[in-house]
Amino acid sequence: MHITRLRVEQFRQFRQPFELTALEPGLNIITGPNEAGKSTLVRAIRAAFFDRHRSTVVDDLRPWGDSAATPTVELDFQLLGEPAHLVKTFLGKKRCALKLGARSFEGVDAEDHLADLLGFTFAGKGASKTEHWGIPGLLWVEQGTGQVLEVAPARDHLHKALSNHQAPAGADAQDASKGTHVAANLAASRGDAVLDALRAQRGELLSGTGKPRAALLQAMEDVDRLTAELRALDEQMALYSQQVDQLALLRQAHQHDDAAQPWEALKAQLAEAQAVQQALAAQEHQLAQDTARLQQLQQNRDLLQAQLQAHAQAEAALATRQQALAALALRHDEGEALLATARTAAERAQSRSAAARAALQAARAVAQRHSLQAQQTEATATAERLHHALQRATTEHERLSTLRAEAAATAITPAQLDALRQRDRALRDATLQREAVATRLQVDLLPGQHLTLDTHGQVLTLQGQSTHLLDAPATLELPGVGRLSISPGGADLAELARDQAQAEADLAAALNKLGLPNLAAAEARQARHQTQQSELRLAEQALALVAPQGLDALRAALAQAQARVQAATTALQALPPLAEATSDAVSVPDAEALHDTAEQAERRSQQALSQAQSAQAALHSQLAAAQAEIAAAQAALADASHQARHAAAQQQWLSAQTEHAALAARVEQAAGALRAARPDIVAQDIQRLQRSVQQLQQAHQQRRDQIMLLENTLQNAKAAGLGELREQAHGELVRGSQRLSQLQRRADALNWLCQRLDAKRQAALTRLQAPLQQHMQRYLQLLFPGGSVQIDEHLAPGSLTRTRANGALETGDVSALSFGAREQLGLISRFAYADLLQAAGRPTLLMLDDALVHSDDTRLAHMKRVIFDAAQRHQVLLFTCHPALWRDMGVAERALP
Amino acid sequence: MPRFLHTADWQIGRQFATFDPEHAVILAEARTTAVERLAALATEHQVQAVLVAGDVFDTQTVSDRVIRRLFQAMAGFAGPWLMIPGNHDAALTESVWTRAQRLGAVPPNAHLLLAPEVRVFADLGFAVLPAPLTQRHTHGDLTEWFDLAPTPDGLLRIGLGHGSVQGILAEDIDSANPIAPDRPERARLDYLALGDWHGAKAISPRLWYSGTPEPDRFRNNDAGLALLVNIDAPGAEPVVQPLPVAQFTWHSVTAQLSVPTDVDAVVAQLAAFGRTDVVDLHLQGHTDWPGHQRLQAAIGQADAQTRHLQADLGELRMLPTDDDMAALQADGYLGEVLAELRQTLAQPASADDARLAEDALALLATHLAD
Repeated sequence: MHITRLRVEQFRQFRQPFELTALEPGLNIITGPNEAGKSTLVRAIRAAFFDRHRSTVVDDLRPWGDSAATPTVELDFQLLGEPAHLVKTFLGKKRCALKLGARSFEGVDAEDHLADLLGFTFAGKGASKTEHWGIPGLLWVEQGTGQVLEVAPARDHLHKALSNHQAPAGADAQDASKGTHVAANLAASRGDAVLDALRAQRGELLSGTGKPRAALLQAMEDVDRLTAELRALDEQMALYSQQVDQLALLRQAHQHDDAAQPWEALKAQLAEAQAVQQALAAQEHQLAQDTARLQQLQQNRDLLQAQLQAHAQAEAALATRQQALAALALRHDEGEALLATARTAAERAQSRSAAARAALQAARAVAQRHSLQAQQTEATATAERLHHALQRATTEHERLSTLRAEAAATAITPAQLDALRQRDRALRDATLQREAVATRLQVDLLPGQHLTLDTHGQVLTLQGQSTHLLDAPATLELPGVGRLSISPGGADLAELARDQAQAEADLAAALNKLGLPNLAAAEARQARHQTQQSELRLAEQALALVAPQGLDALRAALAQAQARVQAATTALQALPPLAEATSDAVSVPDAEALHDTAEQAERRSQQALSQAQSAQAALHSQLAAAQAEIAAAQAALADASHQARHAAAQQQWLSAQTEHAALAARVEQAAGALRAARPDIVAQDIQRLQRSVQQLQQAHQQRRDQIMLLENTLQNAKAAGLGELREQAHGELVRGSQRLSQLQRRADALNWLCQRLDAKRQAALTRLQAPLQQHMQRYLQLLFPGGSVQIDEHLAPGSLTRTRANGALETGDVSALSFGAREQLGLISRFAYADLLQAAGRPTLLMLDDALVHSDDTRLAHMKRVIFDAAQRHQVLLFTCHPALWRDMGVAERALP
Repeated sequence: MPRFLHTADWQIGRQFATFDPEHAVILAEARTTAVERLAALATEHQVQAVLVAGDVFDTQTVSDRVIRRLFQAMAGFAGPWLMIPGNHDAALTESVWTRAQRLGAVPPNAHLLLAPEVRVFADLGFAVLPAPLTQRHTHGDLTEWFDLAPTPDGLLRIGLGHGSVQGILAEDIDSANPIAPDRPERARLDYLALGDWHGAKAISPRLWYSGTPEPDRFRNNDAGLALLVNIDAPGAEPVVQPLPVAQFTWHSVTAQLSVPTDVDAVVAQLAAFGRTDVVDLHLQGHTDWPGHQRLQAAIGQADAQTRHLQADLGELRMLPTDDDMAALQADGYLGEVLAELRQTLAQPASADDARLAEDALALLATHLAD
């Protein structure tokens, strides 16, 4: 489509007719300063198409202040290969006429026809608004709205325009098929609304992830719950039925037992078994008694046998003893002979021993006398010699004592003498020193005159001539004259005086101790003492010669010797007078030897005798005992009662033996019979039968109890109404299942629909986006070389990817771009839509009112190329108040007056 | 002239719980009111006795209230009610009968024939030979003892049994509780009143099923009747007259749909049903979208005007036509999905697929129609 001519009259500031003619099919630039009427022309074109000629809300078309005006727009244009002429008059004279090729349309028909061809709608009432403008609204950019791209209002029209397209005659076949293809895949006109509604309904039953919710979930839970309830009721009923059946069975069994009494037969068997058991018990008792008797017999027999054996043994023992007695008697006789022999020998040895003892005594008496006599002689001589020695020694001793007393009186030791000498020397030294230092007071008084010297508190009366050494303050009393006080000088005078006094005292003390007047006396005493010592040593040697052991030892020896003499004398006197006969016969040792031999012989013979005597005594005693025993045994055996008992025992043993054998045979037979009868098994039989009877009766009783219990249970069971409850539960379950099934079906269908519609919608969108993007890309390359744009689901540019100065790619949301950039992309999008529509054979016309005023020079230059390119395929009406900016577009500007 | 009212299969206590609870209560109650009508009929026709041939109760475990209610419903007839248990209410050791007796609910004129022994009603001119079920199922013929059971001369021999006559009603009945078809002849019975088959049916002149007085199943047999049995004298052939008792009629409607007029027929049929009809609708075949919508509308209508309607459209396929599709005016991806659905419906891979596609189509169509 392209407009060739535009004429307005009584239209806003164009009170007079204004006409644009010979508009180009491509780019047309209409320029003019503000208020020149560019926007009025734009408004005129919009009014020609969008506003009903009958509209009462288009007062703005009227020139100011001209209420009677009839704003008129007249358009000549090419539409789908046909020339078209549209005249539309508003307000004062409402009219619309369209000539399209050979056809003419009037009024509303004309308007609707155009709307259908161009793809827009009219407002039902009031002013035409954006949402009615459809495709032209998309392609015609109003002043200052280039950056706003709302596809939604055009969407239905786009769809309709593209889908209703028939390939125009003579159009390129490929283009046509492509157009149809694009059209067929455009999004459904009501699709999204339906899909939204379906989604909402799906959401009532399913969660986002497809899980049941709300009513569907409730229905499922209901079905589960009802199923469980029904199952419970079924079980209850089954239990009830089972109990009823059980009751029937029990009653049947009970009645059967009542009639048949099955335990009676067993009772009979039991009685039989018990009888057998009793018989066996009697047998067993008899057997036990027999066995006991057998044991008694056996014991009895054994006792008798022992008795008989004892008798035989006694007889045998008696014979043995008699033999032993004979042997013993023989040995006794032999012993008697031996004893006599021993006794004789002992008597002889005794007499020989007595003779030897007498000889020995005689020999010893002679020897003793001789010895005593010798001792007496020697002791007398010794006593005499000792007596002399004692006399001399006594004398010597007395002299020595005298000497010692003398020596002791003069005794002084060299040490004592040395000490005296030393002290004497010290005194002299001290005196000399004092004299040398002391104040010498030489007094030479006229005789008769005297002075009183008072020193050391000692008052001396001085007369004549004297010298005084004053070592201490002294007062000299001059009678009649006065007194002289003398104070000796020298510091140590007093000390020296004390030393001298000390030395003097020491000497005096030492002398005093020895009892000597002075040192010379001491010297003399020592000389005398040495002399006395020599004499003493001589006297001591003389005494030692006489009494080497001392005087007392000498005296003791003398006393001893005298005592010996006395003892020997006494012993001799005590001796018996000497026997004449035995003089000089045998010596003592010989006599002792003879005596010893005789004594030993006597002891040996005595021992032999003693042994023979004890042996004989033992034999004798044995003999006597044996004789007594034999006598006793003989007496016992020979006893009459014993004999009788023995005979009886023999008799009894025989009879016991016989009886025992018979009884043993009987016991063995009875035991065998008892074993064969198996009383244990019989007892088991009884136990088994007793239990069986008991069990049968117990079972019978239990069954009766069970029947009563069951009857009770059943009568108390909630059987009443259970059937109804079950039916109700079942009904509810069936109805619940039906509801669930319905809801599930609905959910399934909704789910399926949503999924399929979503998928189809997405596919359609994708198919539509592709060609649009292709067209858009073509222009984008002119604006952002290397850039690319992604179409969003509203078929508008969503995001942009372009190369930055540094060569890196950046991607961003279109909405975040600057106003200028958004306007540029908005124009590009419109051109792309126009291309798409044109490809589908639809009319396209682009109007840009004062577009791109916010673009910088560079961008504007790019956009000029874009616009120029678009103008190669579409008519573009560009209105601007900056003619200078568009002088390089290769077309002449049409300046408004 | 001895006259009896033969009925059976009351199935008292049946719940219809799968139905709408509102309907279920009414249908359950109808079973007891049917007994009241039976009592009225018995009185009206002055019968000697009412023969109730088993399955009086639907289950052993009905509530006490139901038991009492039933015996109260019998009050309209003062003559003897001769009742035997059937397989549903067998005379077990502990049963609904023992419970009824314990409750003291059984009136003196209700004779519970729980044991197979002759009962003589000499003053009324007949003897009854009952064959009560004492187990839930039995595989022997419980009427066999009738053959050798003596009854006083001059009295009618009336048999009462519950089970399946051998070789006659083989289908749809389990073979338990068999009854020999020639029992009346072999046991010299004047009449053998049977229960178990819920429709009225004559097996032989002396051998009848009365059917249930109030239908409880969607089976188009002669249910809802009672039999008035006239027997002139021992040995005379009975004259049997069916009497209507039922309050509700149960219908099983099955239709195979292929052309639009088939839909018209079903719609018309549904429109004819009223408050006393209980309907089971089972549709097969296929229909287009408008047909489907008409059916849905008709079913909705019928559901409101009948006592109960249950519709099974599981085997009915909805196949939209080109016009249907065009009318939906679906374009773009909606159109694609619609086309896919239509394709699936035309050649479904499975019944589930078809159903899913149908549901989805219905949903989509609903939204597109908005």
